Amino acid sequence: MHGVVNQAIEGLIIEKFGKEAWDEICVASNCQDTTFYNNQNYSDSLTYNLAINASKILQINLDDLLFEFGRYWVLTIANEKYNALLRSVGTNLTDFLIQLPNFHSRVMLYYPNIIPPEFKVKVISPTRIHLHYYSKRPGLECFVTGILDGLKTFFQSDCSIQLMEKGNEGEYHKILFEVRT
Amino acid sequence: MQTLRQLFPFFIRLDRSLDIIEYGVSMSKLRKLYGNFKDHFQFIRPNFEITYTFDSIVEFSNQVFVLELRDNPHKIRLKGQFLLINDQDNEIWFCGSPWLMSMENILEYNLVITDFALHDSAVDTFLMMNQNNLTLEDSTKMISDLSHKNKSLKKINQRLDSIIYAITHDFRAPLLASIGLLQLPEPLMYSQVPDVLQTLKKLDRTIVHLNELSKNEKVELKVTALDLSALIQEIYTNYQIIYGVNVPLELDIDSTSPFNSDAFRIRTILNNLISNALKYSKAKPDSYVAIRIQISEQECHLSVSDNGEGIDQKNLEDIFKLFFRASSKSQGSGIGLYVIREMIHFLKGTISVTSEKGVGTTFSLTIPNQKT
Repeated sequence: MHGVVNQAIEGLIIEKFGKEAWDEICVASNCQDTTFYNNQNYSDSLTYNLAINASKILQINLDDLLFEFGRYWVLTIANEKYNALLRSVGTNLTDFLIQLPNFHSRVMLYYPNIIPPEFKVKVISPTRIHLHYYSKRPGLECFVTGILDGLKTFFQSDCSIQLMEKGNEGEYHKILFEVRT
Repeated sequence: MQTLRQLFPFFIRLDRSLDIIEYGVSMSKLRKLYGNFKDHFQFIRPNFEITYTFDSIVEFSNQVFVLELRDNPHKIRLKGQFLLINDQDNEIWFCGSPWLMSMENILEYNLVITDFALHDSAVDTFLMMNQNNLTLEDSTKMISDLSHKNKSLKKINQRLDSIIYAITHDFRAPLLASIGLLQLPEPLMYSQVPDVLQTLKKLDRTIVHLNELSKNEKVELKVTALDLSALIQEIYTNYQIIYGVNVPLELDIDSTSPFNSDAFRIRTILNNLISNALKYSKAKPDSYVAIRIQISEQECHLSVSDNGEGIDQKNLEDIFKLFFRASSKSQGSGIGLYVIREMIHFLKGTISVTSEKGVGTTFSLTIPNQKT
């Protein structure tokens, strides 16, 4: 997983629960000497371990925690590191979501070794879009839902985002979200 | 024509007089164009020998063109090429897009990514710039991390050198003394036993201090509520027994808040300070040790004073250095005060000392009161 994802986990835990809690989670995840850099890749198992150990140590439901990591990723990490990028992709949530597939395709050009998720957007009507998410990584639906909720806040949108379906197709885990404005 | 419009949303269509016939929908966000090309754009490259004529532009049409919007505060430049429309031969098209020099340009120019064609690498340049900024941020962080680790390694190296020195000198002396003792004839042996025992006790103390030093590096901070009065009384009584002295203790604690800190480190600090105070006080008949403590919500001020031998002014600066001893006759291992300083630093506190030879010594500490 890309370093910025782990930075979201680190940032949220330190902000809400303090440095000591983070240190304890790092020790449990065997990464006490690891620094998370923006443009480095870390093993997926490390990210999963951090989330699972955070859930155990802080005694917070894993799904709730993943949702908050997703929101924090958008509202703090992306807002700080990709602010101009977020604002340049579109002026509202729908425009932004329509560009998600292109954005992730372009990102793959700079990092040939990373496997970002894939998106497909279908405009059902002027007020309704379907966002399809495909990833080879399991168990991230709450993280993705948190990201979408964070984007809703970022773009000050009062739309509704609903998880319509989730399932597997081959090695892909897929989720369908419906966004209604 | 429609294909060109879609592929180059910043296009400009010019007739033989370079009058603007049409321009792309994205170009309209930069400027509403009317009249002649020359009124809106200037050539940055090519610049030499090119004129604002149809034929001149066609002559240079195998080159990359850099145009700049006239009278624009942002000095917006566009990169692209001119294409002669062959089937009509009476118009040329500029096909290109704005050149982005910074992340903020796209917002300053009031553009969004969808204003660019999907194939346009200007957007990739924009993304790449963002990634480069992040990589630069990473590099700065890595340099800082490395510098921090380097500093820590240098410190560990210096300490290792000192420990090797101590092992070869301090540890060897009692060993040689013990070997010598065992080789003495029996009647002489007994008379030397107290001196050798003293040397071995000193060696044991050195090992205890080295262990404390090592633990300070490894043991995580563990904050608990501490009863300083009980802790000091316990340590004081123990050292009076160890040193076989009966020196009165003046203990004064002024507390407006409970004190929370690391039990292992506070105990070690007090152990070393109290044992030093008692060790150097015992020679005088009117000896005393005074410990004064003020605890607030933020910090704990603690001072340990004695009216013992005192420390020579010239040695005061060095007493916290590892293995420093004022003289070869010094009773200490040269580690105790170093351990105290390292532990105080770990707790993000401060320590200072005042002393007068023959009058006494005061160690003053400030330790943050941690939140539990």
